[in-house]
Amino acid sequence: MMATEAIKYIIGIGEPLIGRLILYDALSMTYREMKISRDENCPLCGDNPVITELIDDYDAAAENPDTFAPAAD
Amino acid sequence: MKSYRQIVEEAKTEIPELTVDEVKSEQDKDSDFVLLDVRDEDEYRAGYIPNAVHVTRGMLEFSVENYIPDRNQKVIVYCAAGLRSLLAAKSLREMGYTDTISLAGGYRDWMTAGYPTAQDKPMTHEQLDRYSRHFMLTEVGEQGQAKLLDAKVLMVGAGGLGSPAGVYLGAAGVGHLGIIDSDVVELSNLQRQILHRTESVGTPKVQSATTTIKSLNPDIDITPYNLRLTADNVEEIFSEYDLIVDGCDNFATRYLVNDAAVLMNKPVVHGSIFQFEGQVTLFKPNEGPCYRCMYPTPPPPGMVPS
Repeated sequence: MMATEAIKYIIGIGEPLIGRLILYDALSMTYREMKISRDENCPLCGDNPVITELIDDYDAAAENPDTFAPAAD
Repeated sequence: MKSYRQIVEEAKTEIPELTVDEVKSEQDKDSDFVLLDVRDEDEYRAGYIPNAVHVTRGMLEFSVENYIPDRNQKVIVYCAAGLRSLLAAKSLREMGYTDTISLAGGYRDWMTAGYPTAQDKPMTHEQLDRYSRHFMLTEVGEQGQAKLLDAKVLMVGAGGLGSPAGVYLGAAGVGHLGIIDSDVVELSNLQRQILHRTESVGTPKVQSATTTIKSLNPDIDITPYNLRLTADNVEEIFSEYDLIVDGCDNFATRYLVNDAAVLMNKPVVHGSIFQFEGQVTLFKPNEGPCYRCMYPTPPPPGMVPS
């Protein structure tokens, strides 16, 4: 599925999965589609982003999620 | 019964024509139109007008909607000399396209006028054979394959998610694949990580992935990065690629990929999986959400299944 999506994107055909999350459950063999949209308050890509450069150490931040994003002003 | 001349004369009464000079000046003005090349594959292969969409006259009615979904889009059709394009433009009108025009004199006059042309890198006999099943799909065709061969895709992770993605991307002929992973192959990986082989246990995953994909398709270039993606190396590596395929297995890397991709405006095919459940989406900066829109920060370490 990831490869198909990549190939579609490169060639520019079909409907890309932008804004859609596909959830796959192998046990029930079902797919669900969830709409996802850009969050205007997103710390990274929102209207007033607080993350404007990379964090120094992502491994350390993963140990302590509070440090993953600077606090909003 | 009508002769071809009558058919052409009829089409001329219905379809407006433009000269190559007029089309060139439309192009220079950046007018909103689609240039449609309806010649055969071999004619197209020898050269075409830049940015033209190619659908052969024979496949026109079957696949034009895939390329030009908007029936009100202005379409300028061309062929070699301006006859097939008249008939094609007429067929498009019958299909409901409202604004179709034929390029009088066609590609021949365009060349004579000395206007710019483009040509895809010619494919070798082996490539024409190897990718022949792609050519049968009108949505892909030789044009699509040329795009794949020109594409540069970075796979983050050569494990459970990266394996099937890498196999398919390599086989499909994505011309340049980067693979980044710092792990070595373990026996317990082999039950699902199909890029790796029993004899590769103990060797770097990127090395084993490169060997597998190269043996599937020697036609593509692969750059292995036997290292861990960090804030220090991500920008240099990402800058080489058009698209990131994120199949990593930890939150640190996932957030790093997302942050760098947004800051560098790179699209990411995102996948993740846990036991029997998986998810996939495409994050395209400025056009949709990013991973942080869904999860601004990762869950506390104790909550993370591994």
